[in-house]
Amino acid sequence: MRYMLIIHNDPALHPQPGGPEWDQLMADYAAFSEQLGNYTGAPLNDPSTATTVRIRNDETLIVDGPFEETKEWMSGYYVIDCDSLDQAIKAATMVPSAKFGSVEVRPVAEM
Amino acid sequence: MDQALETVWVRDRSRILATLIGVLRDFDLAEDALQDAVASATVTWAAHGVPVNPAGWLVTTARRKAIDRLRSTSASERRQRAWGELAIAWDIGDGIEPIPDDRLRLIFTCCHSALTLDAQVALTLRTLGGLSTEDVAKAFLISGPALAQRIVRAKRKIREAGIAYRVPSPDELPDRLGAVMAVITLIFNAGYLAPRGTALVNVDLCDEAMRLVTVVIDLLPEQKEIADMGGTMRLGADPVKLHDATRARELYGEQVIYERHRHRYEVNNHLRKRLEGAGLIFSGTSPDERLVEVIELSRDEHPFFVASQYHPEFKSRPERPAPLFREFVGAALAQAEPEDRSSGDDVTVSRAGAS
Repeated sequence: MRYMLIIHNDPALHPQPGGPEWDQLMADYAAFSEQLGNYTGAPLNDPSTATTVRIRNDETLIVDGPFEETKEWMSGYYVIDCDSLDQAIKAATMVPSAKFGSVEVRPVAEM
Repeated sequence: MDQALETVWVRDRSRILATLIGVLRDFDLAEDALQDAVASATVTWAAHGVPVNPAGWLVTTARRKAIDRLRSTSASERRQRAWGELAIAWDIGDGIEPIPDDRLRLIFTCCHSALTLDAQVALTLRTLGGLSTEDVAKAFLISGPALAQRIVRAKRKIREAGIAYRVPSPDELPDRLGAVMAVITLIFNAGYLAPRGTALVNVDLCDEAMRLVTVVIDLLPEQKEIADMGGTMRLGADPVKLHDATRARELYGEQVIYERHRHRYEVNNHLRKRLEGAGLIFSGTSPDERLVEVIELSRDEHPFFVASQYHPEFKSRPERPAPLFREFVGAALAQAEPEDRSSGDDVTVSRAGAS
């Protein structure tokens, strides 16, 4: 089964670029990604860079900003293949940001 | 025949269900197939006699019924069940082999932390316990449909989120076992602090919790801590020997009774001779007679003086009162009787006068 690990962070609690904590975090992510081996995923830029698109009555509405303003925002994701939820949860505990934010584990709905 | 089915149902239902869920990987399919198998049993057993291994017969028949059910489902639905009917048909057996005990896998699945605690409790009681949905709902103060909804949602999550049907590996075990114990403790407390019901203590829920602990202890024998937990939950059903020619023996009408214990202190055995000399009767003891369980005074000393170490209220129900309570009330009524009777006569007289 495939699972998406959705990483949510509160920037106030999360290391910011520039300090040694950030360097450590990047090293941890590199190590984690290498350990996962076969995955798809990416880090995301912050919500101030987001644009939201909707189509209503055949009209395209483009709005600056994220779909939802919250303190925590989605900062990245992984899609991994696992035997069971337990394995996916184990992988989620190894996501470096789990220490600062949260990781949502969602099964991919196979169509 | 019905008797045999009833017996196997009470004794082996959760084991049979656990085995079927293990094979079918689907709670609903397992429950439906088992219902079908039970329906078959009422007919087949009546015609051909009870099989040698009734539980094995039910498992084998339920597997066949599951295949029938899968064949009748739509093609797209069938594709979704990755294991498919071939896996179920594999080594279907003749129903003579003893069935394996899969209840440990089942309990770890039902008590997975990815389910809400409410759902864990509901699912555990429903699949591993012997209580009806209605009883479970009552004990947790929710409606039957709300409970059913909870169970449906939990089963769906198990299926869709891929919660595995297995005993956790040793490194995961401490956490996962903690979750199982939390569920069992909650069930026990719900029984012990019964929010409502006919008994002061809802013995059924306490018994269910005890049974679940026993499953974990028996199937996971290295877990010493849990054995201790079983000890603290063991409210009793410890034997008490009642001595002949005593009030206690007379009012229970049995030589050995089983009652629940919750005490820390005992009668000092050094003083037993002196207390006996002074007129106290030790009418109930542990079977080895080392612990005093019931004391009383003779009728000459007091109309009704009987006291127990154990807690008779734990097993007492309005429709099945503990003998100690029943007889105490009886004795109290007998004391009050002369006065009562005269007032009762008054009522009769006045009624007679009115008519």
